[in-house]
Amino acid sequence: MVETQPLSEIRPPAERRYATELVALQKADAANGALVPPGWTLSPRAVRAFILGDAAIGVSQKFYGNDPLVDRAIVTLLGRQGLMLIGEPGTAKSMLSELLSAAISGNSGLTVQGTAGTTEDHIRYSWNYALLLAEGPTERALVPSPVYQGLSRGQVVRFEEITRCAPEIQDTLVSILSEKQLIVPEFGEGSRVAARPGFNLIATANIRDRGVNEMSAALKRRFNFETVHPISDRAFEVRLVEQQLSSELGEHRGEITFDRNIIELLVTAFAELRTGITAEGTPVKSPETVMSTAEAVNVAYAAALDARYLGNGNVTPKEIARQLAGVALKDNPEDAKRLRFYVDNVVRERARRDPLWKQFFSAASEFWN
Amino acid sequence: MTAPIRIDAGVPKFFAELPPRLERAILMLRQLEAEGVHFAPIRHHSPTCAQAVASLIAEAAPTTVLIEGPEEYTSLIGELARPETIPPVAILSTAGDSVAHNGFFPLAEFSPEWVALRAGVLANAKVAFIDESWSERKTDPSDDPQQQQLTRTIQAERYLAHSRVLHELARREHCRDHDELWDQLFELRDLVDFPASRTLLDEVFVWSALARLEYETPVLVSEGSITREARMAARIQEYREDAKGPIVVVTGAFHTLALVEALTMAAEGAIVREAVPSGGYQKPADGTGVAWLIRFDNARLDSLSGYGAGMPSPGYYGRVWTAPTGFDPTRDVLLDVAHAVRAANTTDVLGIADVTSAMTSATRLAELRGRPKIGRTDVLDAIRSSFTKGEADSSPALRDALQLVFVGNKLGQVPPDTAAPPVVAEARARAIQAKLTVSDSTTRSASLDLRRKPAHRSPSRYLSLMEFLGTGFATRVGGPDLISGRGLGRLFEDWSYAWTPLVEARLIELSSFGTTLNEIALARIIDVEQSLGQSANSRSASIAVNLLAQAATIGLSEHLPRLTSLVDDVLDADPSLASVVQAALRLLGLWNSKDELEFEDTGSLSQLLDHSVGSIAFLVPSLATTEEARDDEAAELIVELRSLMLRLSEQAGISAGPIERELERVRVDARTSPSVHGALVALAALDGKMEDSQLSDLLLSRLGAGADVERSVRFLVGFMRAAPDLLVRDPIVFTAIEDGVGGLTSDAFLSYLPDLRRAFSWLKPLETAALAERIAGGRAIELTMVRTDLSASDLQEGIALQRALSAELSSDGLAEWAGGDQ
Repeated sequence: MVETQPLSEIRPPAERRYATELVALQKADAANGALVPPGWTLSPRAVRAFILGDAAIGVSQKFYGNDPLVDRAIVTLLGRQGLMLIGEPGTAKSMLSELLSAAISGNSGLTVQGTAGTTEDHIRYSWNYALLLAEGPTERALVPSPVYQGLSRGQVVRFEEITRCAPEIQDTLVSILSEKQLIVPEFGEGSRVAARPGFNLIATANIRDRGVNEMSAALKRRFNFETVHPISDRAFEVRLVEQQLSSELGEHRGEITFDRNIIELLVTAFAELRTGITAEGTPVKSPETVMSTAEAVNVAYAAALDARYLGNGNVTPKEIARQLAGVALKDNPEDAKRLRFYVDNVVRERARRDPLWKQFFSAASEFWN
Repeated sequence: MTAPIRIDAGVPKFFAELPPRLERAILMLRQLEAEGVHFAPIRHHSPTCAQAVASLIAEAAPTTVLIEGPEEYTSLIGELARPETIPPVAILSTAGDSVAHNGFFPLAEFSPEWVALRAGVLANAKVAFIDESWSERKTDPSDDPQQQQLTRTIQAERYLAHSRVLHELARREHCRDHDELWDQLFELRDLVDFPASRTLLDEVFVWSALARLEYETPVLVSEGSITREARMAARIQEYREDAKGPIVVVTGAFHTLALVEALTMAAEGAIVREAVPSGGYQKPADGTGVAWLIRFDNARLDSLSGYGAGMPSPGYYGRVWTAPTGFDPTRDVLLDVAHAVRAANTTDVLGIADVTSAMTSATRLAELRGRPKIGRTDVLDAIRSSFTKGEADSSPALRDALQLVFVGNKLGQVPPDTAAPPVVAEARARAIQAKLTVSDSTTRSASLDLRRKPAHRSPSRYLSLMEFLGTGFATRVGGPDLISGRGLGRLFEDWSYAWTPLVEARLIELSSFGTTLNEIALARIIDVEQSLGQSANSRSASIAVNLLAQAATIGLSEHLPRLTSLVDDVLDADPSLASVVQAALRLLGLWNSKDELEFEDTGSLSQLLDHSVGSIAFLVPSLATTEEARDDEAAELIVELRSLMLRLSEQAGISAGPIERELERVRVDARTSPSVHGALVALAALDGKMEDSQLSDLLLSRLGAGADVERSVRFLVGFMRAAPDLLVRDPIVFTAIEDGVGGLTSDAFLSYLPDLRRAFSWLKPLETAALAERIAGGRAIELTMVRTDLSASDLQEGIALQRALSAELSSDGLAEWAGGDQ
C-alpha cells in the first residue's frame, strides 16, 4: 500500500517517510522467498537492510557506526525479551526505535511517552466515561493504550523515556511482558487481551540523566539491553552544532560574530568532559550533568545572546566560559570540582600554546574559582 | 605428464569475477598438484585451516611436509614432535645482539603449522621449515618500537587488517572487522570431505591474494617479503628434486600467490625468481643457540594476535578445535561464562533462563547473518544482549569471565631437558661487564657512588634489575631507594651479591617470560601495568610512579615514555589523595635523581609534576570530610602536602597554586573536620598567612568555654600534629591552648587525657622540657616515670573507679577514708 497523503506534517512518521523503501523491501522478500516471522511485515534481513541500507534496491542507510547493535536489536525483538535502548540524550535511540517499529510492524505510532505523570491508564487502558455510564463496560467504551493496541494487533510498541516514569508504573509492564496478556476485569471473569504474534516492546531510557528512576530488577530481567553511544566524530559534531545554532539564532544571525574556532573550542570542551578523555588521550573527570551535543548548542546559543546584548556582538571564549559555568553546573557541587580540575589541568596546559584557550583559561579561572 | 585441470573447483562463491591473474594462479595451483606439490595456504591459528591441512596430508600422503618458518627451526622438529611437548608452545629466535631482533613463533594445538608438523612426523614424512632464517630478516620498520620486545611475532599478518578490499568486503557483509569476516567466510564451514577442504584452501588463497594485489612491488621488496619468498621457492624446488613422493607446502596464504607464480615460471613470478642469489642458497643454518623451544600461554597467544598475527580468542577456538565433529560448543561457552560470573560472587546473577535466551539469540544472529553455524561474534553478541542488564561494559565480573573463557589460561609444556635459553649467559656476561665477581658463589659486597661516578651507574642498574627479578643474586643493603622512598639523601648505594646455582635455576624458570633480562623485567612491569587498568579502585598513582621509578632504576629507558604516560593517566583516575601525594613525592625524588638515573626526558617528568598539582588540588576537598578514625592520617597527609608544596617550588620550580587555593578553601569551610581544620590552621599560622589576632580569635573560639569538647580535642590534636613547635614559640598559641585545656571540666579532661597526651607527644624532648618549665613556672615538680603492663583503658577505668569510690565515701561522710582532702 503506497501512502498518497501529501507530506504536509512537520515530521511524518518513518513508515510514511520511507514508504517506497518499505514496499521495495517487501517485494524483495517476496522475490527471495524470505521467511517472514509471524506478525512481522518484513523478514529480519529486510529489517536490517531498511536500517543499514541496501544500495541494490534503493534503500538508504539511516543508522551509522554500529551494525552489530542493529543485528542484536532485531534478534532481540524476534524473541520474548523486550528491547531496552539506553544511552545519553542525543544518541539517536528514539530514531532507532522508530525505524525498527516502522520496519517490523509498519507502524511506529504506538508510542507511550514516559513522564513523571504517566499513570497505569496510559499503559493499560482507560474509559470513555460518557459511554461507560451509558452502556457499561463495553469494548466501545474502552480507550485502549498503545500497549493494548500493540498486544491485540501484534505490533511493536515503543515506550520512550521509560525511566522518567515512577518505578511502580514501570512495573506494570512486568506482567504484560512475561505473560504477554492484559487482563480486563471489567469485561467479566477471565477477560483478557492476549498478545498476537508480532507484539514486542522497545523502550528507551537515559540512565545517567537526572530526574530518572531506577528500574526494578524484575523489569530489567525482561529486557535485553543495548547501549547506544554518542557521536564520536568531533568534526561531525562541530558541523551539527553550527547548523543548529544558526537555525536557533534565526534573524539574530547577522548581528553576531561566532567564530568557527570558538565553536570548536566549545565542542572540544564538551566532548572531553563527556567522554572523560581529552583529544591528547589524557583522562579527565566527567561531570554528572549531561554534556550532550544538545547542551553544547544551548551553551553556544546563550553565549551568542550574551555577546549580542551584553557585549559587542563578538562571541569570545569569555562568554563561553561564563555560560558553560551556568549550564554545566546545574546543581551538583561535585561538578564544580570536576570542572575546576579540567581547568587546572587541560585548559591550563593548552593556554600556554593557544591564545583562544588562554582567553578561555583566564575567564574560566575568574568565574569558576 | 599432464593431468586434467579443473578450474571450477576453487573459484570462491563470494566473488563473481576474479582478476585474470588469480584465475591463472588457480590453474597453476592445479598444475603443481598434478606434479605432486600441494599448497596449503593458511591463516595462522585457524582451526578450520588446521583441519583442512590435516585432510590434505591424509589425502596426498606426502613424503615431505614443508612449513613456513625460519629454516633453522628444522633442527627443533625432534623436540617439537616429542609427546612431552604440549601446545601452546613457542619457538623463540634470539639472533643478533639487539633485543629488537628477538621474535616468537607461537604454536597452538589448532595451529595449521602444528597440525602439519605432527601429522607429517606421524606419517614418517620429512618435515622442514623453509623460510629465510630469522637472523637474515629485515627489521620491519612499521613495527611499533614500544611493543617490539614482548610481542614481536614471526607470523605477521598485518596485511589482512590493513587491506582495503577486505575492509570493504567486511563493511558490505555488516562485519565489524576482518576477523569477523574471516569467521563468516571460512571458519564456520564443516569440512565434510577432502574436496570441501581443497575448496576452502583455494578460497583462502584467493582471499589473501586479493589483499596481496593491493601491495605495490616496492613495498613488498622493502618489507622483505620478496627475499623470503625467493628463499621459500628455492627450498621447495630443492626438496622437489630430492623428493620420492608428493610434497605438502604449508604457508601463510599471503605468500602462496608469489610462490606459485615463481615455481610455475609465470611472468609475474620473475621478481621472486630473480631475488634468488646467482649461486643459490647455502645449506640451512643450524638452530642451536639461536632458536629455543619454550612454554607459552593463551594470554600471550592472544596478545600477539592483537599485532596482526593470526586469530584472536585462543580459548574459544581451542574449544571449537577439541569439540567432537558436529558438536556446537556455544552452549558450553555460554554456561561457562555464566558460571564464571556467578563464581565472582557479585550482584550480577545469571540463571539458566539467561543462558537459554543467549543461546536463542546466538542461533538467530547466526541465521540473520547468513552463517552456517554460530560464530565467535554471534556468541559475543548474544552474551552482550542477554547477560548485560544496564550499560554495556558495566560488569567487571562479566569482563573477567569473557577473558577466562575466550582467552583462557592454558599453559603449554616442553620436555624438561630442553636446552635453556640464553638469559643465563646474558646475566653472567653483564655481571662481568659490571666488574662483579661471578666465578664463585661467595657473598661479596659492592659500594657504588652514583652521583659522582657515572661509571657506577650501569652496575647499579644491573644489580637493581637482578634484585627486581627476584633472582636471589643481589640485595640492596643500604643507600638511596627510589622505589620505597627511603634514604633518598644518601650518596652511596651498598649491595651484597653472590652467583649461586640457585640463581641460574631461577633464571631458567624466568626465561619463559622473555628472552633477555630486560624483556623479563618488562613482562613483570607490564603485568603490574595491566592490573592498574583493571578496575577503578586499582588505579593507584603511587603504584604507577613506583613502576616508573622501577623501570628507571633498572635501566628500561626506552619504556619510560609509555610509563610516563601511564602515570599521567592514573594521576587523574586515582581517587586517593594520600596515594597521589605519595606519587608526587616519588616523582620529585625521581626529578632529583634524574642525573644518576640518566633520565633523558626531563620535560615529561616536570610535566607530570605539574599535572600532579592539578590532581592533588582536585582531591584536597575530600580532606574536609575526614572521619575521626582517620584524623592522624589526614593530619600527617597535610604535613606531607606542605613539604611537597615547598619542595615543588624549591626543587622543580613548579607552582603549587591550585593546591594552596583548595587547602585555603577547606580551611575556611566551617564544615571541615576539626582535626583537618586544626592542622591547616597550624600550617597557615606557621606560614604567616594568619594575623596574630585572627589566630588568637580562632583558637579561643575553637578551644574556649562552651566549645564541644570532642571537637576541640580533635582540633588540638590536628593542630599539634602539624606544628607542635608553635606551642613553644608562639605565646598566643600557648595562652589559647593553656586556657582551653585549663577550661576543661575534670571529667572531660580525664576522658580526653590519652588524646591530649598523644597531641603533646609530637614535641621534641627539648621542647617538652621548655614547655614543662613554662607551665610549672619555676615551681619544682618532680616527675617519675613508672612502667607497668597496664593499658591506657585500664588506667582510665581505675581512675573512674577511684573517683566513684571517693564520691560514694564522701556522700556517706567518710571522705577521710578515701584519703581525699575534705
